[in-house]
Amino acid sequence: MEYVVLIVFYLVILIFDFMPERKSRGRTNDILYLTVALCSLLLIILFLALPESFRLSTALRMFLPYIQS
Amino acid sequence: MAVLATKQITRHQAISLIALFIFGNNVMIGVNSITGKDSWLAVIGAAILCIPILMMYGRILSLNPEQGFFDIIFKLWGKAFGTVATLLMVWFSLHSGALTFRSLYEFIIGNTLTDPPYLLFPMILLLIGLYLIRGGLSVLGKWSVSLVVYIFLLALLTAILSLKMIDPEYLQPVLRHSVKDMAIGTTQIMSFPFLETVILLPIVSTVKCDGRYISVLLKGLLLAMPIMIYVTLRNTLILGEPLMDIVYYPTFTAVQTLHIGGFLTRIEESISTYMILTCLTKIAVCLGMAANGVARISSLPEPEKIAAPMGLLLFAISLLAVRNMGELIMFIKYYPMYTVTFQLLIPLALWLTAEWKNRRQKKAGLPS
Repeated sequence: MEYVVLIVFYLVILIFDFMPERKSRGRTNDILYLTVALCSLLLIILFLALPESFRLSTALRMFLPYIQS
Repeated sequence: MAVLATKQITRHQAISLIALFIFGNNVMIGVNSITGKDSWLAVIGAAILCIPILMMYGRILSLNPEQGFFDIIFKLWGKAFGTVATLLMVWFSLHSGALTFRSLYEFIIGNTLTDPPYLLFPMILLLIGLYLIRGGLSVLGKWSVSLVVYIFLLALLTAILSLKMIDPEYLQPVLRHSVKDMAIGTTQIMSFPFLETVILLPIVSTVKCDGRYISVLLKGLLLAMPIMIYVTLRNTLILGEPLMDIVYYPTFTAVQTLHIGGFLTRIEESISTYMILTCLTKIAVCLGMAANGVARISSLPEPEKIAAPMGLLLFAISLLAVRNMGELIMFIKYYPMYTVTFQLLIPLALWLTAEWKNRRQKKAGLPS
């Protein structure tokens, strides 16, 4: 149910923020807007797909080996 | 020049915004616990050590007055390196905002409400943050001035109420921790939250202050310091070191013990209000900086038009950043190592380049 609300939230943002200013923003920036929105959606899908043990902080700590000890 | 509309922010608003940004989520989760009861000394040491670094940030802006921060990066480093540096700063502001965002809704969900829908509150908070940014700098500036006044009044109230709850023995013995622990603690406090003010540089660059950006940054630090020290001291004096080590939100827990005459309680709700508001300000600023950076790279004249998808990206990163609140607090221990690039190395390289170009132009007799 929460994820349905999330999809509705995305649609609300697109309808009320993206659509009204489409002409003033220009085509290139429309593509940029949609690309960034799509990236965020992909990250959320990644969040759902990845195991809970894998998070950004875990990955960052792996790149700081001298901290691990 | 891609700067946040509308208009500019005044000097006093910028100083208030810097102070609010420093409070951010730091007041909620408290300073690091490695120095325990000596945390207040680490806060003072961190603030003093941050002064030269903030002066460096201000000097970068002073050498290129009335230019946006990202315009300065592109001017000094060209398109290729400028794009890389801007993307790194955009990433840092998004990640920092995401961690603040995560700590905020974990606080709301964990402390104040019973089993609420997990994703609903982040969405509502994001909408408020987006409104602050879409409204422009003038909205953010007015918001920050009124909020700072509210915070000082609240601090005064809680100071008076906490007088009978404090136990001076919780502070003793002073400087029990080793020099190494104090150094580590000071470094952690420097990176979180003081040097996160690097995220504010695009906003500070819009202030009309006759090139005196250094004084704006230092006055913001000076405004935030007393509250930071007071909050740290109060938490230590009320809770004591062992309890401070185990609670996630020491400020909230400390204020829960306060009451007026036994009949007026739940004062922590007013504290949670100001925690939410300061975190929202920090999230809005991080979002604004990220939008500003992306707008500069893509030559979009109005950064607020890209704020909404950046907000969605920030929200998504906040979900992926950490597993839970405990991991977020653990991550603060690694924060200085992670943020040294964004808070020190990139600004240092920018400053050196700016000084070198300035001297070269002066020798050639050209205007800077």
